[in-house]
Amino acid sequence: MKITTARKITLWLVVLAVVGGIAVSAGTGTLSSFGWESIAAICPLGAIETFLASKTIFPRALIVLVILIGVGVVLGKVFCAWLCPVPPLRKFFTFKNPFKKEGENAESGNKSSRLSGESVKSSKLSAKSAKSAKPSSESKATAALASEIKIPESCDSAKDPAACPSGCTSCAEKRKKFDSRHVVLGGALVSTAIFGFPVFCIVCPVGLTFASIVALWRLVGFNEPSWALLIFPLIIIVELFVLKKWCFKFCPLGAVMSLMSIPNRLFRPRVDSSKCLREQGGECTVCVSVCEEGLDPHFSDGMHECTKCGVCKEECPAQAISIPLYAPAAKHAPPKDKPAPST
Amino acid sequence: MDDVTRRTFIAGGAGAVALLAVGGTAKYAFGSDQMLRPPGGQNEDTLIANCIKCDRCWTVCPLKCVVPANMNDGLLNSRTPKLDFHKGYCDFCVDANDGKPLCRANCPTGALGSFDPDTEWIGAAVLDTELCLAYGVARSCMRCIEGCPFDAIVADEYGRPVVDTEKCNGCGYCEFICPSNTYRTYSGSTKRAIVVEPSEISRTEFVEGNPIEAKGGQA
Ligand code: SF4
Ligand code: SF4
Ligand code: SF4
Ligand code: SF4
Ligand code: SF4
Repeated sequence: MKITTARKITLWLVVLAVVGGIAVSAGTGTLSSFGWESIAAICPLGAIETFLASKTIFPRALIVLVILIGVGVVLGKVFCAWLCPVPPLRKFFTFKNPFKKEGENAESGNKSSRLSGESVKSSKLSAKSAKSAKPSSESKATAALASEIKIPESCDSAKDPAACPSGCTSCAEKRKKFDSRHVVLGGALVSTAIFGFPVFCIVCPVGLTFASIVALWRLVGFNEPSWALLIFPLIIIVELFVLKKWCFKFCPLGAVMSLMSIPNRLFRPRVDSSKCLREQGGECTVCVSVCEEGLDPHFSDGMHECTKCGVCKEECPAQAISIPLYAPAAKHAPPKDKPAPST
Repeated sequence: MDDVTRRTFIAGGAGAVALLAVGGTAKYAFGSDQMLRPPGGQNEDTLIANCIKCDRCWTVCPLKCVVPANMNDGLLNSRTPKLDFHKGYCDFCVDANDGKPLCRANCPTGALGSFDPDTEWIGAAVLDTELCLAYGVARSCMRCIEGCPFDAIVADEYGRPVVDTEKCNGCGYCEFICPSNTYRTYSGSTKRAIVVEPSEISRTEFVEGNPIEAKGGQA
């Protein structure tokens, strides 16, 4: 089964379990804490917030937090691609503006942006043509490809797409261990400590997604109207559609997950250099451009941010990427410094 | 500071400041009065500090008296658990779990603490003689007197209910069964003749102390 299909099924099962649990009053809870009786997962950020807000550490929450840190070490930021309802929600409600040309869309030039289906296909095509291109037409193919793939705005080559060196490593290297999400996380924790309640929970898009479902449930089932039905979706809209780069720039939950994932070495995508078009001398950067996290699976830089979403594996035109349990540490150096493997 | 760092700092800083604003606004602008909480949630500060709004307590209540507070209860309280005795009453899970509250067992964060129904209370029942059928012309209703599991409602010389606050522990059974609002409405409100009010002091403090200051809420 394709990883993206497995992810969709997982998310639907989770939503069904949550909504079903509410419907039959099983007491299983939502993603903020899901489980059976006293054995329940708890949102790691929520747990830390309660410690700070109450200035006490509730043992059960601490135990679960420690277990979750272990999960982070083993599986990395897997929550973001497999369980979080936010990315699918954003995708579902993002309509493409037909009057804007490819590459002019609001999210272009953004490391976190995904390519649309068509543009992935066309870059695949270009990648293929780049491979088969004769040396004379290579620079043309390069230019054509470079104009179709989305180059991160921080990349110097963005000013001159034709100059993009094969094996664009600049973006991968620019993914720092700490970024704006961690500053937001700091703000959430300081605010929580000052005001004495879990502040981020009030605006958390994950919590509010389920809270909106609950509010709808209470309206239909108990005739209990509430402003919540307007306010909760409004907060989600502001976060996901006005701020746009929520996951990449703001989400403090993502920041917690990324910190927990720093030691993660398992399930990292691995590139088979004998198949990779780029390592064979082509101009392909499909894997970089499809990655929501702005990573390049050729390199280990920033790889703890990998959500194990499997998109790079599925979109690679040469099927060069796999996600094995364990892969030896990826290199840091750009591939052109390496001797090209003989074909 | 290079470009990327500056932009990161601005975006992150704006987010952090926004969360400080959310914290302050929720706490001071849209707070609300003491609320009626499930057993173990009587310490309002602990509940607010620890509740992560996970929906586990209200969905597990076998008698359906716990409901999620909504926006009308304030931004700070919204989605935290409160009791609604029109929907059910609390038997401290005697039937379902040998008297160990399931809501508390399900709470992952300690927002709902320990609770001893013999010495603590959820709140105290308050009777409104304007609404009570037994104080009206018919003088026929005995349902709360007969129903109270703690014998906290006694009949006065005319057979009308009087709450013995020392015995009441706020289980809500009287409010749940009170028929007053079925037969007549009082300015369109759904308030029943006997209502459990949250209390700012514990039952022990009430019994030992000064009954006049006992009742929190609006009575
Ligand atoms: S970054 Fe936050 S909102 Fe985005 S997928 Fe991860 S947890 Fe969900
Ligand atoms: S590196 Fe591949 S698997 Fe990891 S987040 Fe990026 S696209 Fe997904
Ligand atoms: S103790 Fe039991 S009956 Fe009472 S509120 Fe909690 S779950 Fe409901
Ligand atoms: S179970 Fe605890 S943390 Fe969850 S909503 Fe209820 S009181 Fe809050
Ligand atoms: S007076 Fe009402 S709330 Fe108090 S113990 Fe009796 S039935 Fe419960």
